[in-house]
Amino acid sequence: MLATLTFPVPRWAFAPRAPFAFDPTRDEDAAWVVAARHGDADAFDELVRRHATRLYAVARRLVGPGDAPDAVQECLMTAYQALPRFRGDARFSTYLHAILVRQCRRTARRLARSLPWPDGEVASGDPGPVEHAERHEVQRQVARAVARLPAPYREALVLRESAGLEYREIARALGVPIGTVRSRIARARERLREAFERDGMAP
Amino acid sequence: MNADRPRVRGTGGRPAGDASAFERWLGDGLAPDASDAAAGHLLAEAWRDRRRALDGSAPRAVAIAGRRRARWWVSVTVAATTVAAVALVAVVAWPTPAAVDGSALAASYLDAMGTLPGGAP
Repeated sequence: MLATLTFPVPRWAFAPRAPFAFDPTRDEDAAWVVAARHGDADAFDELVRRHATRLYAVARRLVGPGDAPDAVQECLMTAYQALPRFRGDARFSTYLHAILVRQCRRTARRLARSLPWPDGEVASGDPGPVEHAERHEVQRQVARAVARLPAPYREALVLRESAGLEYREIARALGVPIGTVRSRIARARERLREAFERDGMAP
Repeated sequence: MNADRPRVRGTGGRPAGDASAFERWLGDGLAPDASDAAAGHLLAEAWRDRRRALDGSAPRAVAIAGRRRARWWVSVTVAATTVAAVALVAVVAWPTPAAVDGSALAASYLDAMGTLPGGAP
């Protein structure tokens, strides 16, 4: 009783490890995840290094560039602390993105805004070559249009296009049936297509 | 011309060729770019520093808790010992009523009776 009251080490530090059944042929991160679960913090750093770009890309498109770094950091902290409970029945990237989407929802609720970021506030890309300018302009326009989508459509589409997750992985990350994912992505594309055709931007 | 193309289910009956071209264009617009890569690199470094600080603070927190717990036990032990000592002293040194000697009392009573006028034998 006394020890419970006075011991300040977080409860997660002593959380029992969940049974772990990871298929190394299915996930290229398996070896690093196994090492991280056995206390190798450098292994978790390597996992972060592998996934940070995609995590940031997803967060930037869900909550905007201003709040994306915090969302990613909180996601990583949650993933690090909950790693002993990770059962390995999904790919590690799916696990990370599921946490990130929840974190982005919390951020969006906290900010209480339907459009996650102002139209003009799109992260600047590579300022270099002129040949990249056109692609950058496309990305800017797409980011604006995606920001106007309803959140369920935006989440599904961004997980598909920015994170490169498969439909079943998106379904797992969002906690919805795979058919729902398909319809959300199709409707998101349809809305974007209509918007771009209206603006004369569609290819 | 588009009417002859196969339709894609779930896309409002749009011709398949148009759908894939648009999806490629959209996918290109949503794919991680150089700014995402740069930010991701910075975030990975920031995470590594944060994680090291977190891991470093855990043993320190344990040590602090240990010292705090030790101080608590010392305080409790000293207090309990003090109370016990005071109680012992109180029990030992408390002035008790003098023991009543029944025979002496009876003798003095008899003496008193004997001194009374016309006293009993």
